[in-house]
Amino acid sequence: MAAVVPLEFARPGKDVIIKEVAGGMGIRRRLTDLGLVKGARAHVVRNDGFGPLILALGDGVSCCRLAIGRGMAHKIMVEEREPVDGSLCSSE
Amino acid sequence: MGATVKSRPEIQTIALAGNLNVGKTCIFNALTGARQYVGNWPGVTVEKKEGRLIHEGRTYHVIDLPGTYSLSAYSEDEVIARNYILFDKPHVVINVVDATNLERNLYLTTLLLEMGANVVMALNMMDEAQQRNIEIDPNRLSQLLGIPVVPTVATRNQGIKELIARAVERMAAPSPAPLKIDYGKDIEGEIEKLQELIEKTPVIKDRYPSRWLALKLLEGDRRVIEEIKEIKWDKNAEKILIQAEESRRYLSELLGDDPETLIVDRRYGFIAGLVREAVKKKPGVEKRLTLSDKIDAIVTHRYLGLPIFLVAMWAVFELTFRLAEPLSEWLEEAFGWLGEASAGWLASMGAPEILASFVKDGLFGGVGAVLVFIPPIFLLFFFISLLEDSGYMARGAYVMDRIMHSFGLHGKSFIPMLLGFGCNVPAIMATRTLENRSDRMITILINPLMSCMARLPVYLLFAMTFFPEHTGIVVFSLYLLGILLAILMGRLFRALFFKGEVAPFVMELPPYRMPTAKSVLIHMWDRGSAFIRKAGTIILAVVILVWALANLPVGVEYASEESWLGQLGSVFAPLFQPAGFGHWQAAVALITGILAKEAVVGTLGAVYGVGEEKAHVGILESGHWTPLSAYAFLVMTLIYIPCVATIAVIRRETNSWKWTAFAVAYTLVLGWITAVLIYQVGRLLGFS
Repeated sequence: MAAVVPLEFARPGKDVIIKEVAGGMGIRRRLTDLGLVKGARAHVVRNDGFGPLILALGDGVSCCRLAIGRGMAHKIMVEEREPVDGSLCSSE
Repeated sequence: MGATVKSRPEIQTIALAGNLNVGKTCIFNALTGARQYVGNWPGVTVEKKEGRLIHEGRTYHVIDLPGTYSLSAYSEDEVIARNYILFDKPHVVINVVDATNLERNLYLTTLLLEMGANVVMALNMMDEAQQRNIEIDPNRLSQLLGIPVVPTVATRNQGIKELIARAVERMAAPSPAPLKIDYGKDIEGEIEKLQELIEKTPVIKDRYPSRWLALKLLEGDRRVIEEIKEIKWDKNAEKILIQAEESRRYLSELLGDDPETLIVDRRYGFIAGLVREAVKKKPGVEKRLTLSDKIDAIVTHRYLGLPIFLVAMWAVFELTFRLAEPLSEWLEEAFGWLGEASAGWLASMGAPEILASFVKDGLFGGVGAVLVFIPPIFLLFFFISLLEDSGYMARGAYVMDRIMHSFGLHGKSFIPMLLGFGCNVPAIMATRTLENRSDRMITILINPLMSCMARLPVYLLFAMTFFPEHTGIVVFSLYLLGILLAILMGRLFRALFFKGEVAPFVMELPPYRMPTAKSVLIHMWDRGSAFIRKAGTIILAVVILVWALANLPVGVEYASEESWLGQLGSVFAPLFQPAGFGHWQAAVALITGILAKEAVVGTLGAVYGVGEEKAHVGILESGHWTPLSAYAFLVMTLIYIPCVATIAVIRRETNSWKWTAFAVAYTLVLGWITAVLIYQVGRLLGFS
């Protein structure tokens, strides 16, 4: 089993599975509204080590790109996975 | 919806709801054409767009609700959209959905349906979905949700006729029952308990759909709980709240997670089911990188991103103000000429001199003062809508976020701050791209500290007169001072007034799209005409007021010591003594500077009796000024009270006289303190 790390440290090119969202209701609500719920799979398009990250959110159908501030990325716990072939966005 | 049947007025209402970047505005434009107007929702900074649709001889009222992902209590936009649907009960809600991003968009759809809204879905961007090989079966979706689903391509006007027909048809039909998602045995049990209590309480039952309310209470929705608390004179209201609290605790313990998360999870589960049923995706065609990703790889690049953005912004800045300047000058001259001509005509008719002067400087001067802002505002919003509609603006915010973040501001705040160097009026209007209220308020409040172009002539006049060797450095230092104060004040206001409202940075990066001429033009026209209507009257009134002060009592020389303005200057002058410029001429110049900052130069020319072109001679010969007091005066000019056009636009954008007054007051106090500090410390250090 891969280790659970803050999204902040997820490497670009990997997929991540959202495990936990720490932080207040406000933050969680905003994330769930955008589809970042527990168990969701996302692809780390970009993580420069500073500034916001870019995620591709998968719903099995289509993609959308989300920019997420570092402060927030710090509060999202994820598990890294190897990306699934063929599509950026595949759900578990 | 409950027992209250709202008496149906003559004109029926269509509301538009949808996520951001789904083409909602485009559909709104297609429905209403030019018959639309922009205002504000009462008491908030959020824009309210309304329009009229004429279909088969009947008129319908169309209202564009703010773009939201959800309908919770966490943002102003969402509360507005929710309250409108809940309490104003539009006859039909057109839910605009992005077909390329169905799953997330359907979240809002389910929320609307759970509220019992009468929904017609516009399944927009079908062309893009097809390009990406996403095959959606609208009929199946319609069956599953029990609502009409109309595929549309709003940018090409496809499907709009059908959409209107379905919406009108739907209005005549009885309201549907709210959507019921199965939340599982445990949650359903608690919903039932709450619903039972709600049904027994007429004041509450009449106001909210009972199942919806029960769900919101279980989710711990702050806003709804507050609303119920306000009805506490009803015994049952309290019982409902106690039961809700109990149910929440029970569910948390039983299921090991807070009920809100559980409910949201279930909702997404329901949506995933819908998507599986209604969507087919041809396998193996999706490419790893879309075109958007390829563009993003360059424009959000860790080293290239910033320079690219700065060049884009510089281009917008240059194009806007370069192109606008000759147009504005031409307008000003034209109005100056019209003023002269009418004054001449009046004089030849034997009208008193004062009337001629009023027409020339008060009336035409005032209208001219409004019109000079039109070219930059129109041009600026032309470029901004190009950037926004194409999708690049979101990338700009992404790139700037790392820098602006260290100033406690949002990435998108950068654009208004930069534009402030040109003119604060369009800059403050550009804060509309900020979705979060506190970010927007802070950006508006500190924007006047960015040195606009109108302040430059004043800087140059004094800097060239008193610092001929170091003009550049002196002027640059003023720009820098403005920026530093803006950062400082931004932090202070955040800490004082907008605590706990810090918006986490999450935003969608929409795929790049070609902006349509129609939407760009409508956007530009909205802003420009709103400025004339809302800010124009205030500007005109102040110009006329200052004209009166400078020319009355009858017979005085313009802005002389005997005029009311001069007398006012004499009253205020002692206040500026500690800053080194305690003479009435300086005070008068500052007062007229409120009209437009560049007016300071002309006024100084007038009060020293040498005319605008020779103002520098007048300043030198008066013996009033030293290099130090001149610098203090420039600092004052930079900071004190924004010009009347800026004040008017602050009023319009904040929708609050209180914040407008605050902006005027804080800049005045800050300007005075800084000017005094500079003068006094300068003297201690031995400057003069």
